[in-house]
Amino acid sequence: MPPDASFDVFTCLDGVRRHDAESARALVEHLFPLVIKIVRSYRSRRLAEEDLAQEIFLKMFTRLEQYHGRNGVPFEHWLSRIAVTTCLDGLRAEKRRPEYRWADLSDGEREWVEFWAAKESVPLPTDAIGAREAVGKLLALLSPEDRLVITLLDLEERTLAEIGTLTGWGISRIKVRAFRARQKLRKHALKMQKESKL
Amino acid sequence: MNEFDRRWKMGIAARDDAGQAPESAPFGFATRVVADWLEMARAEPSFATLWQALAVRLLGMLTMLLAVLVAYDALTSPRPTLLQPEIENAVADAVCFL
Repeated sequence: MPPDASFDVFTCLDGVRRHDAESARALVEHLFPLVIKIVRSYRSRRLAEEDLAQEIFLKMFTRLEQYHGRNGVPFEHWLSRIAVTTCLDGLRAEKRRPEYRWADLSDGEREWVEFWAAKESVPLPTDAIGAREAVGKLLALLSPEDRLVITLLDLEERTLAEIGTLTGWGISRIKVRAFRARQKLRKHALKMQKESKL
Repeated sequence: MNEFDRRWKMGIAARDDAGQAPESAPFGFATRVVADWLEMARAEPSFATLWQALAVRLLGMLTMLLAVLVAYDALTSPRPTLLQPEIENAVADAVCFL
């Protein structure tokens, strides 16, 4: 469900500052699609997506005094930054990254991994769910920072300037990290594909 | 864009076609979040919370107090001379005694 464009965030924020429960509920329901989209992009294996979304909303309420709406920063951008850093912290808290082996992949996922790893011409796989799962599994093998930059740049198609605002990183740093992260993705795809031939 | 990047983008495009679960908040989610927040807001502030809120201000006040005392001391205390008479006398007495 797309967010309601006529929703008045600032009136709601005034209510929240007065600890009005109805305004707070309306704000959570309005912003849930934005938050859950970010959570699903970075979800930590350890935390369920609803728990992570709840943590983000609680941070939003407790830090609301820090948002002044000056410089024309939309509230949604401010909240997105909280959501991204909370998810990143969740990923960093995981001591070990998963190790997916060829045997762990479904047929649809295998087709996509073979497609990414191949140098020669290979028919384009058609399994959309396989693509979603395979993208998620390859991303899970990256470090939290690499995963963040690929998610923002490739999956969410955000501009370099937007990513800079969300992460506080410089443009060059984002470009270099994205380049290296894609190289790592390719290495992981090749490694998995080699396992299939053993 | 190299061959892998091109293929990776194709995978992401296919992934977008897979769709996602409904995005509206699950029933009761907003109520639960708001209840937790209001409970947190109503809770008595702990020592740690108070310390977090007041530590920086306290440090600032102490720094200002220290600066005022240093300035007062610098303005009011007499300039130290190289040899204080009291010390000279004490040294002379000690030498005579020996």
